[in-house]
Amino acid sequence: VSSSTDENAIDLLTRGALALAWGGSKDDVNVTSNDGKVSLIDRLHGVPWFAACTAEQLGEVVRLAERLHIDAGEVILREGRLGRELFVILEGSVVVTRAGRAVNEWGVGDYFGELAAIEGVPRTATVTAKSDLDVLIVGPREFDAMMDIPGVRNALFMGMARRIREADDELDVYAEGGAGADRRTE
Amino acid sequence: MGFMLTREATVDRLELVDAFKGCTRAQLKQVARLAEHVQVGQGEVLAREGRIGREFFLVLSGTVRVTQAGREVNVLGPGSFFGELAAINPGVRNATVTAVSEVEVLIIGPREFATMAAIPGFRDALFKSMADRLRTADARLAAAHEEDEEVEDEPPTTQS
Repeated sequence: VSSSTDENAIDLLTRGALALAWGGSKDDVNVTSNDGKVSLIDRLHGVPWFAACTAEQLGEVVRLAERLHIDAGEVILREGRLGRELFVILEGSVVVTRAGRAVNEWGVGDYFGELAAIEGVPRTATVTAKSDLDVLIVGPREFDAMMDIPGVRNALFMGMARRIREADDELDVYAEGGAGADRRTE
Repeated sequence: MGFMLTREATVDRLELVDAFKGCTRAQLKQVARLAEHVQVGQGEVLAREGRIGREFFLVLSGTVRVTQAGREVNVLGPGSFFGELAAINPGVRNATVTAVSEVEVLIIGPREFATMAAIPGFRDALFKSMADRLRTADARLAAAHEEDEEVEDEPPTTQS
């Protein structure tokens, strides 16, 4: 899956062929492998998104999510396309573009795809791997179960609240003609 | 601010609220236990822009006006909620909310809010509302960027 920059490779995933594309990769993510690679649970411990989770909850995360390696340059989501997966970045960074314009860059512990995961709307942005990526993918079926885990739920709520504030702040700057958002406090 | 109403009355009201459609009566009782059910008079200010506040509000009856920098940005009626950003993530209020009629409102503190957000029915309503806000803000921002590029090449300073 990760060897090609062909967009179809990733589009396959977003059409629900996730499990097929994966094969047996799930079995080797929750154990420390023989070659000394760090187990997924250990990896998750180091990601801010999962910082508040217990070991047991992380085990649940591993059970619910798929893990994927994506090569630099690959398009993970395409604006306007359907797809309901939520992605959490374990390693690497991505560029978010809207109408060809770069609007954000996310790194380790950030997530993307949540709007489509929650609302079932088409993707609102294109997301491209800026470097080689290690991501967790949460499918629509697993999303609810994932949100039953308090630490994960709060991470998403906090992240969304922060993004709304940031967008609102930036809009304020525009509304005030770029003169700087000096808030009126009575 | 106003007076408290009985818990059973609160549950009866909550049953009519869209955001709680996915909740069982037992869950609504839990919500009622977590919240203060208060009546406020016309003209009272529930949240003030720029001030710190961490309560979440749910309008049960009546109407409130949402203003930013004195400009009306929204009018909310029964079933609407606000204050979720501050309840989730401490910060200053990004708008002022004023009662334009007698208003019955549920007030929920940040701790209680976290408990409430675990109730699947409410959690989903909250996620949907936040996703909607984010999508709207992003779309407006994209439009603002576009307009800005037509006027000049340099983006505005993002200093605040």
